[in-house]
This record gives sequence, structure tokens and C-alpha cells, in this order.
Amino acid sequence: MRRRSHPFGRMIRPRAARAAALCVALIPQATGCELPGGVARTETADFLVGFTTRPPTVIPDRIFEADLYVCPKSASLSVLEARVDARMPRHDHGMNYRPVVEPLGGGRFHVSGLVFHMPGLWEFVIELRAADRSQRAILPLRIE
Amino acid sequence: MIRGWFRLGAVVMLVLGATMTSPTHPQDAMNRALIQMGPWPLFWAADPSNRVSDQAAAINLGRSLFFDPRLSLDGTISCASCHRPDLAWTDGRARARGLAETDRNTISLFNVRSRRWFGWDGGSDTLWGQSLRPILDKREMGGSLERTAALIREDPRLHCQYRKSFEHAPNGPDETITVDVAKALAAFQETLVTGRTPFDEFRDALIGNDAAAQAAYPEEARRGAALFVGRAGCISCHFGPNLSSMEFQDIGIPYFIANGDVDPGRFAGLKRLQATRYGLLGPFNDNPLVAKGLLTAQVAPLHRNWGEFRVPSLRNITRTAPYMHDGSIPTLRDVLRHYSRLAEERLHSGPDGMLRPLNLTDVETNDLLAFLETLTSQAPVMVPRPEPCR
Repeated sequence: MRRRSHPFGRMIRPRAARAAALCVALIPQATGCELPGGVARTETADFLVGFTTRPPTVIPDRIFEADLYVCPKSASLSVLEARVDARMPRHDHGMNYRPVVEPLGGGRFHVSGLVFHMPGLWEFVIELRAADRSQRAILPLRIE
Repeated sequence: MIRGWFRLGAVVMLVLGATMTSPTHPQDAMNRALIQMGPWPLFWAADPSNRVSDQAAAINLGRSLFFDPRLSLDGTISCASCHRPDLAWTDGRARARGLAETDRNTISLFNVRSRRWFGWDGGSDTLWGQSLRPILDKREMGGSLERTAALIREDPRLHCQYRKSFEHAPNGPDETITVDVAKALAAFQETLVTGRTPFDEFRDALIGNDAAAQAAYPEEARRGAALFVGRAGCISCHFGPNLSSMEFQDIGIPYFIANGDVDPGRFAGLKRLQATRYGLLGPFNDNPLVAKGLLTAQVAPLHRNWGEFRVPSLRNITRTAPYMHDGSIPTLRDVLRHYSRLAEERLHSGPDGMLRPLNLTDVETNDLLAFLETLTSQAPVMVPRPEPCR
């Protein structure tokens, strides 16, 4: 692609090209695993991670649940264990409760017993353990 | 170029859609925060762990027992000795005094049914469990399972009220009858709800976009509300319809008590919670399939629980002086002074980035007080007489 002459240089790209690049980055290769639609997404070095809460809008101090989806980027990998926690980065504290993570098979996990006990910016901290490695994904969530 | 795009795409973080923040007018954000401090009255459903919750006969029995000093060791202390209806269900003292002085302030029973944890340290996960504790505590009422059960069996009126509440005579074990007594007490306390306040009217006016009704809300209270949800950050802990999280916080109040002892607060409460028979995980939960006690099972004892005490509701706060878990702060103005001059080094787990000295001006203090005033209902506290039992 020819670069445009512009003060912001290589930061300027057609929207389609950006979308294509993101799709290339996220499409799983040869694993047969796909993240469902409508979930928040992130990734680690070896896994694609999808996450959604139930209910979709988290209310402060109300118990909620979540669904975690993990797709390995390589067919030789599988996630053995997932842990989910959360913290408020600006207050430097976590939740008051230990959520329960239940494996459902196929890289799916159900998380129960989540409580964000105050409004503000939280981060889900998702720890994934495979046979010989552990990796961490972070998903921010601001609640009012 | 491709490497650059993959670097960009290497870690893609998307905020969950329903909660993505977007630029918003400050007034809209403030109004949104205020609207979340309602509605009032709050919807409430009977407690599934208490089979006589919201039952008229049990409320009647609970009302009789609440004012009956015969539950105490020497026949002089009733629940109402510390939870006085004329003092917003507190006693106006710094520290409660039953048979002896205790270490903690009497909590108002207003809106107690809305809590998740009970007591300053959250040592109970049910209102009936909490109602049983002071009956058996030697410094409060000094009662016993045997004494309580005997009272129910032998007093004709209480015997009748028990039978109507539980649909059988009080013939079971002492412990079972005493737990039933606690459940009836809880049923009565569930009726103690504050009325609507000037703030509730203002909140409804915000929702209805009623400019005239909004204008009736005092200007200084409106400025105080803006501080409350804004710079002062009170809303971090005092949010929702009860203006309280259901949780606990360390705000730098000393936890030393008499004889050099300390009050561990939530840390001790968690130990008590996990050891008690009288809770959601114990044998007296009337519906464990519904009232599962999930949070009781999953609550995590943490180092920072030392020195943490429950975040009280701010509804009717002007009527429940003195303040804090030990009653050490006499007035609301003094409470604001505490927060204004907060000594971060006194926070037991160290500064947490949330609490900091507010350095309030006199005007700001008066505005916050004006706002807190509007959280009080002027409805009188009325306690109907127990109904006769036949």
C-alpha cells in the first residue's frame, strides 16, 4: 500500500485495511475453535479470550456471573485451568469474594460469585494455565 | 507495515460494550449518579431462609418479644433497651450498654432488612442470626437457649403467638424454639423502614424532568449532592438506594478498645460467620435451595479486613448520632471534619488511593450537611401494640 504524504505519516490508513488487519490478528488458525459473537475479546500470547457478564450491565454491589471462552491459537495447546479475579487498579484492592470458576469443556468456563462492591474502574484478571505455561489477560470494566 | 499492524493487534482490549464510557456532560453524570440512589421505597422480598419472614403472626410475636426484658438474664434488658423507637432504633450512646458496656455503637434498625451482612463486623449473614446474638451475649442480654424456650412455653400470650406463627406448639428442643424466636424478631425488624425524604422527591423530579419540583430542593443541598458524587467521592462507598455498599471499609478510626485490646472488625466477623450454626450454611436455614449462602461460602478473609467496619446507610443519618463503629464521633459535622483532615497513615492497610483528606471549606462542609439533611425522613416512628392472641 502506498503511503500517503501526511504529517501523521504511517498512522493514517484506510479503514478497511485496519479492519482486515484486526481480523487477521483474531481469526483462529487451524484449531476449529471460535469465540462467540457479542463478547468482549482480548488475547494472550497463546490464547484468544472472550468474556461476557450476566447480566450484561454490572451493577455495583450486586452478585453477577460471567462466561469465559478460551481458544488456543495452536491446535497443540489446550487450557487446563482458568482463574478469574478482579481488582480496582486505582484503589489497589480486589473483590471481597473468591469467585468460582467451573469448567464446561471446550475452553468454556462459567464464573459465579462475582461482586464489584463499589462503582468505578475494575479490571478482570484472567489467569490461564496450559500444560507448561501460564498467561494472564486483563479486561477493564467501568461500572456506575 | 504489517509488523506494525500486528503490534497494534497483539493485545486488543475492548471494554465490555454495555459499560463503555463515553464523553458526557458533567451535569448528566451527576444526575445519573443521584438517580441511582433510589428508588424509595425499595422493592423487598421476604427472606427465604426465614419461613416466617413477612408473616403477620410472626411480626406480632416479634413485636412482643422485642420489648420483653424477660429474654435477658436479670429480666431488665430487652432489644428495645438499645434499639429505642424514639431514637431511630438506636440509643444515642457512643457504645451500647446492656448488662455491661460493649465496644460498639448501637446500629439503627431502620432498613435493616436490606442488608446483606449484619452487625458492624458482618458476623451474621441473616437478620435472624444477628437477632439471636445479643440475646446470648453475656454483655448484652446474657440470656440462654433454655431461658428463651422456657419463656415461650410458660407465658400464655407468647405461647399462643408462637403457635399462630409456627403452626405448632413450642414443644421442640430449646435451640429450635430460640431460633424461631430470633426469626420472629427478624420478621418484626423487617417492618422498620424509613419513609420518603426530600432527596427522594428531588430524585423523582430529576427522572421526570420536573423543573419546578427540582427547584424546590434547597440550593445548598444540591451543591452538597454535587460534592457527594463528585470531588468528595462519598459515592464510592455510599451509593445505591440505601446509600451504602453492603460491604466494609477502613476509614482510619482507631480500633483500640479497653485494656489494650483491639477490635478486629470484619476480620473477626468473618471468623464468627464461618463458625456459626445460625446462618445460611447452618441447619436452621429454612430454604437452602433458594438462600444458598453463596457469598458466605466464597467470602475471602483478607489482611485488609483488620480495622474494617460496615459502611452504614446514610438514610436518616441525622437521627442516629453518635457515629462510627465505636460512637467516637459525636456529630455529622465532626464526621466531615474527620474526612476533611483524614490521616492516611492511620489507615490500617495503608493508603488505598481512594481515601484522601478532602480539605473541605466551610461552605463545602455546610453544603454536604445540607445534602445529608435531605436524606432524613420526617415520618414519625410508630410501633403498633401487639395484637391479642386467642
